[in-house]
Amino acid sequence: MGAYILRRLLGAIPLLLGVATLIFFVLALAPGDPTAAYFSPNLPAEVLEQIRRNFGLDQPIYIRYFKWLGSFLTGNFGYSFAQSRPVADILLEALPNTLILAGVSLALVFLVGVISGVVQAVRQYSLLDGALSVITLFFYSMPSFWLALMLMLIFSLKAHEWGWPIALPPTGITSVDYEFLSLGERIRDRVVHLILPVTTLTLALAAGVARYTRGQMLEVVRQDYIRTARAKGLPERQVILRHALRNSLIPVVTLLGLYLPFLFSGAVFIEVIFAWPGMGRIIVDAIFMRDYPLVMATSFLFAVMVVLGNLIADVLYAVVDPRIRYD
Amino acid sequence: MRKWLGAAVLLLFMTACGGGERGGAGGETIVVGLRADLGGFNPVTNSDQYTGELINFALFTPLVQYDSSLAVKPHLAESWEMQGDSGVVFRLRRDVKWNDGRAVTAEDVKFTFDLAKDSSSASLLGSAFLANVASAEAVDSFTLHFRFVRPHAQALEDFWWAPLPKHLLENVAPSELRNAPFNRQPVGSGPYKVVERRANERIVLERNPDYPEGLGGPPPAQRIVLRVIPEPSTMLTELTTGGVHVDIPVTPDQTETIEKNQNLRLYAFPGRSLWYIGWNNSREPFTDPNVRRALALGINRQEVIDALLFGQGEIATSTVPPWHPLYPENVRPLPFDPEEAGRLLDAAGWRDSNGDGIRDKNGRPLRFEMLSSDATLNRSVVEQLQAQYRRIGVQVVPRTLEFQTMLAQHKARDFDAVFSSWVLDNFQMASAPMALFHSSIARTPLSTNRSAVQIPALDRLIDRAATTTDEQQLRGIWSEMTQLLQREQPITFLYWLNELAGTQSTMEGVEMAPPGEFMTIGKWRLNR
Amino acid sequence: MTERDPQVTKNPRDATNVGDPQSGLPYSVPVNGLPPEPAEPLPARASSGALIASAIIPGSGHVISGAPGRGIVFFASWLVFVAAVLLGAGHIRTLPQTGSLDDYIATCTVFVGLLGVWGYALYDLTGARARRLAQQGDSQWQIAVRHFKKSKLALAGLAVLALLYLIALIAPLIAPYDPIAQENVIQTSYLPPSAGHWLGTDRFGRDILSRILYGARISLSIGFIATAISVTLGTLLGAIAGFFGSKADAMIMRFTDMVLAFPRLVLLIMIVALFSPSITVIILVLGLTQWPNTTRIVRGDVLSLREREFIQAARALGFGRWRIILRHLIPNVLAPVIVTATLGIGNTIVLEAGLSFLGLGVQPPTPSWGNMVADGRDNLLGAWWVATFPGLTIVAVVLAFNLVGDGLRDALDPRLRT
Repeated sequence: MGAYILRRLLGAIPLLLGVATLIFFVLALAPGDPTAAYFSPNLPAEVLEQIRRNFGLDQPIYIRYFKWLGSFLTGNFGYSFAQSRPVADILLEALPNTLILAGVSLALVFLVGVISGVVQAVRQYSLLDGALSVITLFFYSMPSFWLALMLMLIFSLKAHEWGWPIALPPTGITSVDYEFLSLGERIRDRVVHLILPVTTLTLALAAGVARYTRGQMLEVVRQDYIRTARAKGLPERQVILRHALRNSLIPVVTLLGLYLPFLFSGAVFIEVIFAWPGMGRIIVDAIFMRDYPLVMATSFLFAVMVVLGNLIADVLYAVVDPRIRYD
Repeated sequence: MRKWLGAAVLLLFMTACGGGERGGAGGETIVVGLRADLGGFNPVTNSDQYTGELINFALFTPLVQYDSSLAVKPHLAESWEMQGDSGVVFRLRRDVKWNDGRAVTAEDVKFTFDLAKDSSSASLLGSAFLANVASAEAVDSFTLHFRFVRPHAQALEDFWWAPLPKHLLENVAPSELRNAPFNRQPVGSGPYKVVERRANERIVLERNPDYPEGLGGPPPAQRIVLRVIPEPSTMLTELTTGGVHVDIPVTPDQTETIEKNQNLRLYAFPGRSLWYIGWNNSREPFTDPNVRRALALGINRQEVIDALLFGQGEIATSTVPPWHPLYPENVRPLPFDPEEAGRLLDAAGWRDSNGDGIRDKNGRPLRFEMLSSDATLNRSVVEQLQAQYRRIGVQVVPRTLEFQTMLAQHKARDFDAVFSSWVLDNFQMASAPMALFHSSIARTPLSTNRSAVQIPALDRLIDRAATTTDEQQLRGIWSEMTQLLQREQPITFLYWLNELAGTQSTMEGVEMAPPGEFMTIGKWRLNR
Repeated sequence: MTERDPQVTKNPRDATNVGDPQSGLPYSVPVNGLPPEPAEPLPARASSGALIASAIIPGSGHVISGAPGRGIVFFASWLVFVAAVLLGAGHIRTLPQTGSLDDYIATCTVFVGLLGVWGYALYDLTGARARRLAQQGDSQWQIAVRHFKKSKLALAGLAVLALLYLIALIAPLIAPYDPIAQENVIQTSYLPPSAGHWLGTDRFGRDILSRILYGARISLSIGFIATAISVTLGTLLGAIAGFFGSKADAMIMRFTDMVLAFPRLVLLIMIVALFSPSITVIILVLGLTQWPNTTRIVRGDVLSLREREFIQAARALGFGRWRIILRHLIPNVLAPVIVTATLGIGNTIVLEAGLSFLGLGVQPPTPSWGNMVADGRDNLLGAWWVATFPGLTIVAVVLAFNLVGDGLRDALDPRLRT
């Protein structure tokens, strides 16, 4: 197993380098200029040229590439053009926010998805199955930004207008006077601010997990050993929860690895609408402003997440299913 | 079981990190919602509008200051003495201090001036606003002598900028100034200071108790928190539900909603951004001034303002805004006259010979691309213009590009027509036409004369407007220039967009005028 | 999931059972020995009364003859076409003067549909169809269809899709207003839903309902074409990777991994910035970034099919490799591909909406559901209808695709049938 992991990691290095190089050249060739972040109509052309020179953009592309590669491999991600500070600082600031949002959402997605999938499988073709199917698919079919806007409209604006007791704040990680709250109030504050973004993400993704779980459960339930367990007279609950569920969760768990990169960058819309300062917004803003160092660093991180995610999924699969062998 | 444990750990983790650094009395906190994060708070390297306003009104003390009357007032400079046409001597106040306690002196001002003029700092301030100021000399700790390059109009307006602390920045190389960590949380001298900054999230300002009484004294509010909320609907939701007290800016669509709401107040004041259609004067058919005039006569600018801007704009005649003292009252803008437009186009040879509703000449239809950025408002204006042009037989093909791409094409003069804007960074009126229309840079690659305008009479007027110091004469020159611009239409001026902001009705002391939304931030307070 | 070679894993779930393990032939009889469920019984001969009734109102004949289910379906379809004719009556009358190709196609569709429903109802009633079917026996696909019909949800989804397709064709007839023209912008802008404008107007005074109807065309075209591209590409690549193995397999999977590791957002924004966003560019971009899913699935299936006797027999007979791939392998892996394609169309529609949110989607004034939602978000508080209704439409349509896809998956995968 260890050798397998090592091989995969080594094999991933050329992949990551390839992706990074490709992104670098695509960026360099795309029209547009990072100096536009400093754009003012009154700025004379020579001054813009000077800014470009300060960024090192006046050098030919190959030199820029090797310089970037050199500093990148030694861990120096450079300075962001738009924010004028080290890229590493920017990433470190945004990463915890994304992790919180992604972590809580991922946990809820699996909780809701697995429960829904199990119920659907156990009661296949019943009304409950149909209803759950429709509900989860209903939310899965929504563009996430539309769902975010509607939720905000209903639970923030209209709730406030109609005086509901639970009117949720639409933006921010914490309230403005967070520093002056007691510990209990602080916890409550954070949770309340998380509700809208997490709900949007969870609703959008839970259906995928639910359907997959349902499929797996249906297969497992038809296996011989389940029939044996029932024939032995075990209560149905035990049959389902102790025998069927454990075996069907195996591939579902590997989904964890696959959802990882998506949560990293896929929450862009939610971050924009709910003003959540996470990685997704950083990536999009950086691309629009042609902030090369930042785009390179975040794209590279994303590719790393994808590779790691796949690796985790495969390793987990092998770990929990003793029939799988890698060499 | 494990799930609950995990959840509890997660919650503890969440509360432990972030927040909670500063203790402090509760005090009064004003929350401001912004659409985008601000840049570095450095007067030399900044080029962003709102960042500049905060620099001038909240964090630093510029030499001169503006209020709603648009007259230049003393600020850091207690008094001044013009040395004829060739220079000015400023005497500084003695009671202004940096946040670390040291006094603000003439050395700081000179240091900042030199930094700005150093080309390797790539400063907008130095290159654009101080173009006519040659040197600075600190006569003593509180007296400064500036020498001009040449006599020029509105000389005092060159000095609306603030000094940086020399003792903190003198070891920073000018080319590295933009990246200096100082810019994130500067040591300033204004009514507020930055105490916390989280990128793309919030900036916390705290009142400066040492702000001199002579300049208004410490502000009434204890803290101001600037929050970044990118989505306009979310911003308005926060304003409506009380999450923020001030929204800067709001979109024209939202003005009606705000006005209908009793708890909110709308601020709309004439702005500094001019929206225009840039014709590529070096391409057919825009080489003919009659065609350009016809194209200007054929659009109903008031309809665009009423329909898309919900009335929040004013028709433009030149680069001088209607609220500025130098605005020539006697010059009328071009009317909406489609018949005259049709006549002019007919006379220029553009007639509809094949009955398809589009004029043509020598087999070529009167059809061109109009570029715009992908902002909703810009796209909508181009769509409406397209519909208006259709009625006089001109076919416009709108092309929406991402802002960067559009800018690149605009600068490279690779366009037929473009719908874009020009923002006045200060109140020096001569800088705009100099940048936009002077033929000396009409062929220079990537210069600001992107429409390739080459009109010798215009050049002469621009040169005179830049150097004349007599006010009467200056007015006459601007009047003539505006008339020429209306005749020639090198670009077609559409409108000045109002700046829009919304506040809760409980806010007091808020006054917004052309110098900026944050003009009276030193006096903002909440009335509970 | 990624590079696991199915031959190495002992996981029996990875092999797809599309055929009998003994003979290697695809199934032509039901798996678990149950008899094929008969369709709703029809009388061998319908009474002449029923025939005449059906000639007037399709479906009534079925109800009289004791098959109300089918009767209602026929009746409902017939109603839809009649409604279309009535709604578009004014338009149809002025056709000779103002007609464009669009309008002619729409009118033809409506009349062909109307007559078609009538005719098919009569044909069905005479029992000719049931007799023909009884002679043929059941193929794998007919079994799948029967299973599909068991799921009410899937059928509902199918009905919605059929309706959608119809709307896309006849939009010019039934849309009350022109979706692009701007008249009297100041008076008609941002009107709330009312009798004159059922779904309200947008900032330019354009009718939302009409724009949604026309938007169906754009969204459907983008969905279908982009998915077709991605599925075709994915299937071909997956089949090649699975069949040829070793070097080709490794290369293709590496390439797939690279495409997957590339942040899609970056790619989309870059491409759209380089070539400004037109429908063609959007279709190409969406199509060329979605194929890895299909490739993986097809590769897995092909790998397990490759060793089956029928493939070995084909090889022994000397068939060329491409002939084997195209005529023997691919038809047998079509089942999951169809499912992926159906789900992919829904996914593509949502992606296009996402692109529009970032300003990179279909450009106005052409209405697409995505850019309508994006337009409406600026004044969400003052005019909620501009963003809400197109969003609901997206949800309904994508839900329909997902329901149909689910139904197809249940119907085509023998392991999931009860």
